[in-house]
Amino acid sequence: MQAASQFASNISAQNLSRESPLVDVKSILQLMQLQARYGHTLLLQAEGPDAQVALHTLCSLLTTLSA
Amino acid sequence: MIKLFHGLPAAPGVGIGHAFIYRTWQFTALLSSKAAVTSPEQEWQHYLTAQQAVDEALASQATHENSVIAEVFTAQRAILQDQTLLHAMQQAILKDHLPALNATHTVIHHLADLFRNLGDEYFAGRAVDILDIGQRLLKELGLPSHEQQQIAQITPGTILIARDITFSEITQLPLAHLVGIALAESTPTAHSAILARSLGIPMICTVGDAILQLLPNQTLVIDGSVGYLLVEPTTSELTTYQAKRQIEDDDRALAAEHAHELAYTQDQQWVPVLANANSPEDIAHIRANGADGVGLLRTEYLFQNRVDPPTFADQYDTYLYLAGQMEGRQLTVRAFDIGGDKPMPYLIHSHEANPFLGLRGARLLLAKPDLITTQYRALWHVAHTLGAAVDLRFMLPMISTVEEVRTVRALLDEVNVEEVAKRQSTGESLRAPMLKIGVMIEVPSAALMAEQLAPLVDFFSIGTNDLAQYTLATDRTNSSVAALADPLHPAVLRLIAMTCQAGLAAGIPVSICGEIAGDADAVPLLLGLGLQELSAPAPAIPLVKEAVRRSQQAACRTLAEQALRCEDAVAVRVLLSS
Repeated sequence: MQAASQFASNISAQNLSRESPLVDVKSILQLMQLQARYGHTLLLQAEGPDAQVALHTLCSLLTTLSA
Repeated sequence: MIKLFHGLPAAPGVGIGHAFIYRTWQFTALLSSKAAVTSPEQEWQHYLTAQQAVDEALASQATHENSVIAEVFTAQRAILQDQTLLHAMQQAILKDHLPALNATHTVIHHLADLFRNLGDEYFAGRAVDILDIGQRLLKELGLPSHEQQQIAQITPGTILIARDITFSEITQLPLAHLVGIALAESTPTAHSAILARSLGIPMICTVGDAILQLLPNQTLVIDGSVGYLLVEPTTSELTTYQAKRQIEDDDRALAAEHAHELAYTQDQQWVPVLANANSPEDIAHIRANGADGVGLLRTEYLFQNRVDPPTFADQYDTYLYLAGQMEGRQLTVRAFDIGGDKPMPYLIHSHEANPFLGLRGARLLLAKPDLITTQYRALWHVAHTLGAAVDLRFMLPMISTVEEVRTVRALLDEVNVEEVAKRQSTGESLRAPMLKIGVMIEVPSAALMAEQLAPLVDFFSIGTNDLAQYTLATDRTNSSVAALADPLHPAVLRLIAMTCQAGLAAGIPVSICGEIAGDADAVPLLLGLGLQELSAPAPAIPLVKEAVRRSQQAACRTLAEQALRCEDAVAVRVLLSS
């Protein structure tokens, strides 16, 4: 959530392993509803001026966390 | 009147004290009649002022010297400031024209319900954090509180009984006066349980609503290592538990100091003391408790609430990660233990009148062989990848016949043949994985047939919770009879002894993974019956290791012979405490 908040883009995520709703990554309350656990597949979407950088940063963050 | 309640162990230790029934704050009942509505803008200002005040209170508590308290309040601040909450409040006050008090109540209630209905126990548990914040906001907005007057009644030696308790509530209590906490609901992963563990207050949870009927000031004994709550103990029971508490007090420092060392009996027999685990979080924490490995990984909890069964890749990644954390120590993975009482959304269950006697455990796996072959294939690959770097074992739940074991082994052998053939055709060097296969002995028929089962498997693991319930024909989830399902009943002990003898004759190890393995008092008896490995709830491990160090094998065998001749579980407990 903190990592996502530094970007201007709208960033949303969905937990494909759980059929979760699409949530706003900048909200801790929504993020928790992903119920993301190790081994789950997440779908990230970003829309806005820094969308590319945002996705790249978040993906590498998630990979590091799960390594 | 129920005499003994069973719950989940949440924080270890024995507490002896008097009951105090904490009436949890009722979220709905307190809303006063319609408050005079000022303008929506004024109500919004009202809310912002309250939010500011709560934020300041949380901020000051977020610097608490106890790191658990500090972390939880920091997380609660993040929820309070969350945009989702703020937008919902804005909508309720400025668009729906609700007074700030009612708006807060509606929004918080809605959010808490949303979380409570999440399938993952850990995230569902966060509903209590949301209610906690709501409670502070409502108090700030002028809702009367009855907490202060309740808190004043808590005197030294109190065992707190409640449906559930929020983190703020628990931190406001005079914690030094509490010698135990028993909750009808909640989970061992709740923040309240984490705090109880950090403070050394014995705690049990998920005990059931019946404990709310206890009378104030009734004498209680709580055993947080095994999950028992004993009501109005007899003089002899009280003496037993006082002694146990004394030993624990003396031992705890010593036990913690030596938790990371291997446990040898007086006559130099090493007894591996392993942990039971449900999640990656559990595995991350076992090291702190000094576990020599994981004796039971309940995999059905790893892939809960999915709409589809976990794929090979999902499972391979997960097991590889978990096995990597073990640093070469034992990891015993139990095949999915799914039954009528633990349904999975991706399996269609027909309604069963008697789920404990229905299509569960190995029976279900045989009905859906893809589940077990995919799981085994994932473990095979992990064992192949890690080679000697891991001691990986695969365990089949709820075996009741020899035929079941033969059928499952045939299925797994097919996987072996396929995987080996794949590697031969690609010319890859073949390192046959060391994946041991064992069965759980938790049905009386399996214990009685242990001699026939032993040559077919690499190890036995006795599940005493189910073994006791099936042997004594007692539903352990039915609190009016649950106390009968005592794993120390001589009938259960005889089945354990029989299983150990069959294991010894066939030269395979026999371990135990029920809650009883976490009872330090029972350790000499378990060793005397012939068990070679103990797998216990992680918090109990340091004391179990100390109990092993005090034991001497010949004396344990004598004790076991005496216990097998006892008439009932009470007599066995008396014997253990003498």
